[in-house]
Amino acid sequence: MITTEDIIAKLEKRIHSFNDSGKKLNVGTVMKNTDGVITADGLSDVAMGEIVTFENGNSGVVLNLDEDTVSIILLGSQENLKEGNRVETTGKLLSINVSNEYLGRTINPLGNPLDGKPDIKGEKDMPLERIAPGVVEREPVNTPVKTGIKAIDAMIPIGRGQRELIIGDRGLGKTAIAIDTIINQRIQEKGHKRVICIYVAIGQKRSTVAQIVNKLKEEKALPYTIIVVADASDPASFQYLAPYAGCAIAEYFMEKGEDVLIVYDDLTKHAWAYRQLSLVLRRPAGREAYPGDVFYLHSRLLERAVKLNKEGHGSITALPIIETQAGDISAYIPTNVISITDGQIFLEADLFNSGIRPAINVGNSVSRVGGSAQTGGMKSVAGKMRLELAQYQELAAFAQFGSELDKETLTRLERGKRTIEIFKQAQYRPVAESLQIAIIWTVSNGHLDDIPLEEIQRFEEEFSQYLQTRHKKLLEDLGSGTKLTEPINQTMEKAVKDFKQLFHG
Amino acid sequence: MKQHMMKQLIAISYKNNKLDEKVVFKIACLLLRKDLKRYVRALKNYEKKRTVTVSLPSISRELIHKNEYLLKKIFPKKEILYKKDPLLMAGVRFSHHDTIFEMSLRNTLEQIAAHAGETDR
Repeated sequence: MITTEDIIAKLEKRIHSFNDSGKKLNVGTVMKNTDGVITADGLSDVAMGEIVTFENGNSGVVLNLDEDTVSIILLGSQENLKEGNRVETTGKLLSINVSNEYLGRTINPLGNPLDGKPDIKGEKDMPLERIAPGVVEREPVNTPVKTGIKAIDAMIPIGRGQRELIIGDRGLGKTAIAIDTIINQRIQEKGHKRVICIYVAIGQKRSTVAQIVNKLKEEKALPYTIIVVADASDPASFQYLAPYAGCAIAEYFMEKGEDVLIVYDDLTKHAWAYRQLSLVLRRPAGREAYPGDVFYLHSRLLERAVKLNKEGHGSITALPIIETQAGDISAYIPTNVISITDGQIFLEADLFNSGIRPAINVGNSVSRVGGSAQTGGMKSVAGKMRLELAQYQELAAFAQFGSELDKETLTRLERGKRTIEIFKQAQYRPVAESLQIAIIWTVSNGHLDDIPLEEIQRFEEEFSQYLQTRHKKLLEDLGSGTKLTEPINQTMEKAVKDFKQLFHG
Repeated sequence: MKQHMMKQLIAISYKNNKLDEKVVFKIACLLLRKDLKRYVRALKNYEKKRTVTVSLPSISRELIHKNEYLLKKIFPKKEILYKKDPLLMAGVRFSHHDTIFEMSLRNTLEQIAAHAGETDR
């Protein structure tokens, strides 16, 4: 228990360590306020990105240094801010005070809690803008981030330290993929570190964010997740800063040796917010009225996702989300972000409407890390999957002409249909890797060819339960990360045959 | 009106280092409203740049006389204005254009309070 003497001793120690130095301030005067962007004169010594404080107690960040004036974006309310008010520099760059207490909390880009719980005690100031680690500090991506989504883990695998873009029209399940990935991190794989998740909501509706928070709470994913919110009703400055705040928090945990997954939902709205700020700042408008440095806006953010090679340091995996209009991935912002990231997961409306969910277009999706981010077991079963699906899709187009087909082609067609069927997956139902390997092995070895198409999903569900109750050892071997050996293949063969007998009644 | 023209107007508004009211009035009558606002703001800025305000808790002629030479050496070609500010308690504050140097008892006490309140990092 802390006594009065302890408090006095601490204060005395502090006062003795105090060094008196005169104060030097750089001040200015507010000239105008345009939509949350303040123009002030004076402030001749201010630095770019420096925090300044106003007379009403609010703070702002300097974004433009003109010849005689300075443009500042407000980080608080505009109330009581008038022309002629004094502005002072602080000598500090914009940063967020982070600690472990952020886990499980919902905050705004300044680190203030939004979930009604007590204030968070910070430990270390992390700057929002930071230079990405250099080439020498990086390590190749070789550890998987398991999303629990069969189509992604099999054909578009994501590794720790990778940037994988999720792109598609509105309402196709982009956020659903991100949330399923976060939920799947609840299970810590043997031999791998836990993954801390950060979900950055930019320009979303508050109701949507509330639903996401509730879902994460229900699925027990909140204890290892931090939610940074700059919703649609927040000023453009908050929406602009939110991804950088999320990244600063991620870097705090990465430097402590943790692996972090960060979802930016979505960067299209982030670009819109930046466009709004830039137009108010009178910066020259370029293509689609975006400022000239809109590429740099996202590249400097996404380059901070890294796998460090230093001992005791972790990684940041980024899942940026981009919303397209009418499936146009050749628009300005989508092409920018595609060229920055290490792959994309492309969601298509036609697939969604025909019941294939997640609506991933495997042909247009890619992971540039590829097999390096897959375990031996998954690689051995799913290695040829993309090729087989591509062949099936070509054959299916050809079969529409109604000509007579040979037996082998028909078999391939039926197998392709069953492969697509097993890749369908309900939302919030991530599947463990061992079960994924089991079902993919089953379909690629032709064991589902005699199961009617409409029974495939039921087969899969019951087969998973069967393996979990009767073949725990087999599942352990499949999930061990090693390549499938002949004994495992034989055990799988027997398990499938036994189950099919039960299934058929 | 361009920036360099505004600077020229400011330059001709001063005679023998002092603001010439007649010239200012003449210029003001000829300017449009928008340019007039800029001209007034520019004059204020120019005045701030050529003036140093020394704030003291109490002003005495003896103190001013004693330190005038030193101040003129530190701030050459600047007009020095003295202002009373009892809130400083002790010490001095120099204000020049947009820079403020404060070495006062009030500032020291505020810094001690902030320093004592900092958590251990």
